Amino acid sequence: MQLKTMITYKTSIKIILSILTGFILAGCQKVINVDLNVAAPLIVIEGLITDNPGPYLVTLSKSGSYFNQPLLPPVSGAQVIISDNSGTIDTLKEIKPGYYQTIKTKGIPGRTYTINVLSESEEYSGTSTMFSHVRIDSLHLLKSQQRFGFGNPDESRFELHCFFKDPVEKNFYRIKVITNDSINNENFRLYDDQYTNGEVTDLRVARPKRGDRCTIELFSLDKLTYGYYRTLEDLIRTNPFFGSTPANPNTNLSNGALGYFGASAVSFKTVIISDSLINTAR
Amino acid sequence: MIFRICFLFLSFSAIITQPLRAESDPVKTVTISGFVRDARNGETLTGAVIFPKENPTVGISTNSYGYFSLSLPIGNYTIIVQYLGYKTKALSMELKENVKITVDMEEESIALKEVTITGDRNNSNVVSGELISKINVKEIQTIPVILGEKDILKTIQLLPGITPAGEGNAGFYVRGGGVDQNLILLDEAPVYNPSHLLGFFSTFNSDAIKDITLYKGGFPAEYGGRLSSVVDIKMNEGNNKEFHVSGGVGIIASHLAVEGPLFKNRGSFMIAARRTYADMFLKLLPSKGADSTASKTTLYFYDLNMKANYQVTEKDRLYFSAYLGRDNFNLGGSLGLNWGNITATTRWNHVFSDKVFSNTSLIFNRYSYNFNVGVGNLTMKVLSEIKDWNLKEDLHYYLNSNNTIKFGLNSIYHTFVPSKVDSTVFFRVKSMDNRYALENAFYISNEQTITNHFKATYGLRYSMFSSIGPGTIYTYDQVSDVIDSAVFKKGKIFNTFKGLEPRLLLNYVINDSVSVKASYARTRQYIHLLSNTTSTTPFDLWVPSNINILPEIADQYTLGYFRNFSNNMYETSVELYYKTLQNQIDYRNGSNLILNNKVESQLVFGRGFGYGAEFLVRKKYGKLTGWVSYTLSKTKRQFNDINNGNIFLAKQDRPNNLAIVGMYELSPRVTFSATWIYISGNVVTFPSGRYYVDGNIVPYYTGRNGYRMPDYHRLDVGLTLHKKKPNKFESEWNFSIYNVYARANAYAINFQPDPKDPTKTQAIQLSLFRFVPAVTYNFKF
Repeated sequence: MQLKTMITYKTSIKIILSILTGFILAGCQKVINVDLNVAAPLIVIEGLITDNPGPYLVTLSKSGSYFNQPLLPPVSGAQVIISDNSGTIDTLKEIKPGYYQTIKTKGIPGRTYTINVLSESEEYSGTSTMFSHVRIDSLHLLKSQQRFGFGNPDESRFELHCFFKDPVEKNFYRIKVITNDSINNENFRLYDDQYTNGEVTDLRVARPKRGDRCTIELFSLDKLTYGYYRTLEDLIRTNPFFGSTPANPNTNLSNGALGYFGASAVSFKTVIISDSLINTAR
Repeated sequence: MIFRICFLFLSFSAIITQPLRAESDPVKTVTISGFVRDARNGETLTGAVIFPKENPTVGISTNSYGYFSLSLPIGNYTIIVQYLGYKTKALSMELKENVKITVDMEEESIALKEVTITGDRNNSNVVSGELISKINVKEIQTIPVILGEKDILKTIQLLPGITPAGEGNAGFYVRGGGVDQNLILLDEAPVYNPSHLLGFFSTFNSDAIKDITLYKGGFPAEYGGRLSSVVDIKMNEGNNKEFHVSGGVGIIASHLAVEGPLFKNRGSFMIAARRTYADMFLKLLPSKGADSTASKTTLYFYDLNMKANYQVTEKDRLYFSAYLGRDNFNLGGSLGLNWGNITATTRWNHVFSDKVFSNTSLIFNRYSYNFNVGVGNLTMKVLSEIKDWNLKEDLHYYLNSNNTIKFGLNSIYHTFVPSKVDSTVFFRVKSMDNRYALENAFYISNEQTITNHFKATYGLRYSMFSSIGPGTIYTYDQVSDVIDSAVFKKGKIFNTFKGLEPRLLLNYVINDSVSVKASYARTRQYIHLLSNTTSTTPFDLWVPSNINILPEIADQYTLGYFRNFSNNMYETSVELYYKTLQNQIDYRNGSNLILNNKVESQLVFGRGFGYGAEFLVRKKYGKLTGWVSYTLSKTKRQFNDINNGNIFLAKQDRPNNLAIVGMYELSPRVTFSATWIYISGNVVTFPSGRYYVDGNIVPYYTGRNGYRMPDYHRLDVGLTLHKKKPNKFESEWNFSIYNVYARANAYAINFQPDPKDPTKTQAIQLSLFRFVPAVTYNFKF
């Protein structure tokens, strides 16, 4: 049985710490006014090349005040170029304000992609390498199990496990779970193969209900993109009492740009949860 | 090399002593030596002052074992012995030959406190060649505390220069230093994690503690190993005249202590135990259904202090003291965590001659935690510990009335077990490598009276730290990847660090009640506490220095003005300090410290500095006693890898820190007490903007610690009703209220989506204790 071992241990520690805090916090919370500085707006670049057929999107926007700006302004009229180490140079086309689309870029594992953005006479760049395509071999549905003896198994829930063969090289992954067309973005489900290198890997990825339609996407990541997601996840999901001092995620973009530029090979599988699937592989 | 330095040093001290001797008459000197004790229970008194009335400047104070030795020219003297809270003794004697005495001091009765005789009050804070704050547990008994649990580590946080690390946190910062830079000694044994229940209580049971001496600067050469402070805590020795039982019942804990004579009054013992019932907090949790895990959950701590001593001969005394404390947390029977300290100290005091006193200590101490998860045959156990074997030899040589030389050595063998994993499920989770190290130090110092007005205490400490195999040391590149590793065999000594730690303290005594003291001290710290969380947790990890973690070094300069008023009834002081810190530790963004065998790759290093002014007014006698302390300070850090290399405010930075402590004795039966605290809020990193990635709101930060939480303030009050019956049964009711005006002090401020409008974010402030009443009943017979 292969489990997400390290993460389980850390989660246990987190559980303990939150419970211990919970005892003493008499739940005294109130909404307060905090006067925050407003930093000068910075460009936010978000782009992902995959090995799915293109075109691919790059979005450009600006950061805004922390409290007051629910909609952040798109960045129009920028020059966005994506090139790869096979000689392709692709100038992206702005299809609507802030959205730039590739024309000829092809996502091929092993290639290295570079983005160059020129906006308001500032240049930003970033590089990412697409790691090999790792196929999801199967999805297994199990009855919900008790974990470490605490928490009762929830009869209405199942456990969905994802199996894949990890290549014999350093790999990093992100798993996206799309349940009934809604993406759970908060949990980044990052995985580092340090304990399972080259092995058939089993990850519990979701706890769906009967009738749910689940799509599991497995993204291969390079080290920098993994590092970005990990520091981003730390920031978004930090424990307010025992968390570390927050800091901006480690981006692979230059010149103070926020966001990231990544290249990922992606594979996916979809199942509709029903009792007949229990203990079968799909 | 070290011996040569010591030799040079001694020659130097002899040279500067020589001309002074020539000036004085070549009269034969004799030595008066011995111990100062409490007449009631025979406990030795540390820091009692002994001086001849005829020449007060040659006075001396008793050492940690109550011993003193004073050399005087032959003649008639009135020897004065003083100790705060005790009747001053005046012993008239004709000194012709060496004399050994034992001075039994009687406690000052309450009636006497008001009519103390002129000239009898202790002014050692002004005239002594030391920079210390000393607290006797008796003095602070009536200070109100949270949940009625007296806590000496909480009380010292009311002194200038000391800042609590946070509400409900036993950790504290001394002059801008980190929590791990405090050397906390319990009968000489270092205590690595001095907190119970995540820091809401300290590990020190006040029933078992005699006194606490705090050094913030001008460190004596005999102390080393930590940068910022020494907190020297002594346990009670036990009454060697009669048996006593004392105890108490409070709302959170109960305690019991027994003391009495041993071996026909040639020795004594003391045992004190304490147990909390914190589990009651669990009942406050919202329970989810009848089978809630809360009902199967336990959370408590206990501790046990023991001490015994035996006077083997006139010249030899043996002490044994031990501490055992454990916190236990168990969630629903399948997730368990327990942690705690053990210390054991065996000491041998030997008086070689009237002028040479020796103490030899063998110490063992250990901090550990056990983490267990799982049921049946699916389990994982993690053990983490740090343990030391520690040998100390201290010699006090009372050369003459003007020079007291102290020298000695200390050798510690450290074992670090960061995490030992024993798992039937997670067979891939590997234990982290153990580390072994040897820490040695030699020191020599001299406390010299140079003129009637000028005293100097100067010393050198030479410390060394070596890693011992087996061990693998990795070398990392800029992005924390391993580029090389070196494997060392068992017993192999490697990565040795060493260095001198000069210590100097000058005291210019303007008159009996006014002095100016200046000091310099360099300190080196070879072991470090890793914790990338804002609070201390049992999981914090101690690591030794090696090529990846260089020793921390601090240099501190202080200048102080001390003045007593109204015949030493009021002590006042102003102290300025400037401190620099090298090789300070912080963490990479997204660092992972748990079960990471290459934890060193997660660290970044920088420097720190701080300066401040500390003001203290203390009233020591009368119906009203207490103090007002105020500190104005600044503490900064600079790391190349943090905040773009720019200097930022350290998390220890609290510019304003005010504490007012008052105890008013309404009558012998009724004491009223109050403390008020005001501290600047701690610095925090808040966002200055936001953006979206993958549909998530991401905060944007412009710099480290750029914001400050709201100021912290709080008033606590207490009332103690004391009853003494003729049959020696004493009882006491203690009522207290913590945070009387229910100030909602910010413990943390978090940002979260507004439940009404998820596109908006709101700031939520979390507060801990607001208006916590408590009652404790104590008894003694």
